Amino acid sequence: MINGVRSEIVEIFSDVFEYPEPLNQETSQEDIPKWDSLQHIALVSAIEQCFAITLTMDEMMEIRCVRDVHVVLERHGI
Amino acid sequence: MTAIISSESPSDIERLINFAIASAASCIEHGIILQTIDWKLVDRQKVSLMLEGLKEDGTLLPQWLARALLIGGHILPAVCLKRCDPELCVLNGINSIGKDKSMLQFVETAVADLEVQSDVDTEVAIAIIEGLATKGFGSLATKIALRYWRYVPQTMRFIKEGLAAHLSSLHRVRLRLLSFSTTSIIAQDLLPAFAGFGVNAHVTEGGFGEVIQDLLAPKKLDADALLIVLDLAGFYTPNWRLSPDKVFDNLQEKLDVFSVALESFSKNEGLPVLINTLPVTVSPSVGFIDGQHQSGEARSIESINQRLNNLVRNHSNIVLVDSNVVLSTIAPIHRWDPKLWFYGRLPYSADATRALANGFALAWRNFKNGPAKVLALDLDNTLWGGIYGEDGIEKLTCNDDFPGNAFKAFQQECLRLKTQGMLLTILSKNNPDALQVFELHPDMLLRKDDFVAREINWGTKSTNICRIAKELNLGLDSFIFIDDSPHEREAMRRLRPEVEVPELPNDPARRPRWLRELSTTWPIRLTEEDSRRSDMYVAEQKANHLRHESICFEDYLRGLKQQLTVGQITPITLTRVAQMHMRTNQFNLTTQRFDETDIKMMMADQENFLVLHGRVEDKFGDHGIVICAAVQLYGEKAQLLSFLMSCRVIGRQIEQAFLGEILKFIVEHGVKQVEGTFIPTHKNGIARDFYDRSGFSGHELDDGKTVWEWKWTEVGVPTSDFIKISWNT
Repeated sequence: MINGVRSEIVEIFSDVFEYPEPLNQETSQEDIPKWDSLQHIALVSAIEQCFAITLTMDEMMEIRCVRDVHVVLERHGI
Repeated sequence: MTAIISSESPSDIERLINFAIASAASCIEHGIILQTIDWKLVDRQKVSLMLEGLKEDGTLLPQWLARALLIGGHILPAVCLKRCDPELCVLNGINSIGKDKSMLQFVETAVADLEVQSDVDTEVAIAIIEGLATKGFGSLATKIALRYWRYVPQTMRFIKEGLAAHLSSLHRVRLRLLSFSTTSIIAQDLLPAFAGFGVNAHVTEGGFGEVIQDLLAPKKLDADALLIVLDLAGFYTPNWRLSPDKVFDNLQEKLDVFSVALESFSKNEGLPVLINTLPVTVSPSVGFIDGQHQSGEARSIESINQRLNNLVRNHSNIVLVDSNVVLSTIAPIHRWDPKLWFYGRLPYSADATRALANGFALAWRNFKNGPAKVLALDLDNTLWGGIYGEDGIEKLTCNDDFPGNAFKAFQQECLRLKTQGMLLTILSKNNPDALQVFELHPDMLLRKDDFVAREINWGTKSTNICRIAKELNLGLDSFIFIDDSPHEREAMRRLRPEVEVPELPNDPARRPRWLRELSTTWPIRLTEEDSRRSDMYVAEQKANHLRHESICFEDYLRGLKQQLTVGQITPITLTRVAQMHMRTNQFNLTTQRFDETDIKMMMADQENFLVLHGRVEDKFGDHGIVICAAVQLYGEKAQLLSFLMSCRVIGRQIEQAFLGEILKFIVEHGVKQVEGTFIPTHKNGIARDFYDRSGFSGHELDDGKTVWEWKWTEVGVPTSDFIKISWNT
């Protein structure tokens, strides 16, 4: 955990968005310039690959900030 | 794997871990606790204490624990690595760099010999690349990461700087990317994919779905090549209110427009066009009859691919990327991600997109460089099993039985490449007379004349390969060197870096398919040699026609042009004959399981025993030894102790012809009366009436056996009109 954010998520966000600031639960699409609809796909793919899960379409739309990722992971029991 | 240690009360956890480490042997025995420890957080001293404890205890370090320790950055003593996968040895080398300077060279050579496959251990791959990158070997880390990228894209995070430096050293190619669907993901993937093949790709994307417009646009494209990523929806989005015929017509119309646009582009621009075929469907629109129904998805895919193939045939600047080949390691259901499709009209899953990008890069490399021209082949344990100089010809394995059949299959693949224009050469450290193996060993598929050049001596291979290159007047970069010895491969890589040295699998069983998958051998376009292959193909098709359509079975047999070569057993054929006795169940008259010792005894006693075998060849190739018999001789009488035939050639009258030859042979040696027995088993019913058909007369015994007699004066010997017979003397 870094700042209450899971270390895997920190890695994924740094890979996908190359976002230099430290993350917190509230970091969202508004904060990250590179987080557009295209990079959103890359984010979802990276989450799926990292945790070996498959997200649904609803979950894909639900993720708008770092906290949402934690919520989705919890739902998958991870 | 989650670490126990990251909990709130470290002291308790630490005690727990200390306890687990102290009782490591018992934990290993029961398969508990040690698995959950994140070894990154355990210090070296504790690990070495544990290893020492295990050693004293006589417990071997299991591979799963070795793996976990190595991923945790620990160094294992050599003895623990003996049974580990090569990837783990590499990781151990990387963990030791810094402490042990000589390790870097080991890592460099070992890494070059790693096989990168779809079943790669992700965590180990990440540890290898991260380890190298953090220790300052960014350029080596980049090279490895690019090899693993297709399967482990996460590793790109460790090589961002290395990749930039690497790309700037590569030849730049401008690619224009078109698709009926979203291209942004594959556009990103093309960069590492092309970098893996030594190309710095600069990609520009066409407008969304504007394939036709782009192809027909009058302006010159500012690009070196055009990439078209096709997906089914670009052509086939059936309107189910229409009749099936109309659905099919609509598809054909779209295909017509696309073909015309592509052809006109190809003529006007002359740029290379790389285009993918469509992969097989997993969700048929008309169930099991999808392939035949007008509106079927499978049928539509087939018709699209057919059209693409025709385009490629007529335009030498259009290059096909066969999706079914490049996606073969991804299960068909995982090639499409419905969520991505509906979210962003992304036609392929993330994995499939990377595989396609890789396929495009591979096609580009082969288009630019052409396939390799020469195979430089080692002999011992590469073209045959065993070592000629030590084992002698008769012990070399290359035949129709395990494990020789794997070597024979590999020779078959070499022969296949020869028909596609590849030159075969021998590069072997051996006695020069090793060449005679191809003439004297009965089962070698390759012949002396199949090789255009050879260096068989005790000189170094790096020197000898230059001689061959000079003799053939070809550059070393046309060569692929295939050798089972990692040392020879390493030496070749170091001394002749131009030569391609692929990592031949250790297991001979895997090698034939491996050679097929070796993409530097893939021809990209029809050549004169290819056309010869196509002639053969046509001939074989005719033969298949014969089998399927001939009204008369005899016509089929005649068409096979079978040749039976009968011979007496020799030390070389002994193994095969014994194996046949051990394994043949169906066409086996007596099911006598004579082993090598039994048969050797018969061979030693030629007065009383005769062992014969027959090899069959037909127009499709050599089947090897497929029939044999053991006969006991008592003056004027003889007894067939065994008579058996491989099920591969049942129903071709070979058994009649072979029996006829045996009878003729022993009659010439004074035998007048022959006895045969049929011992029924639950598998050999097919041979029950064999003696009856062959002019023997018989009677049944109480125990179900039948005894059959044949007398020289009564009838002629059985024979077949469809088999040419010769004797091997």
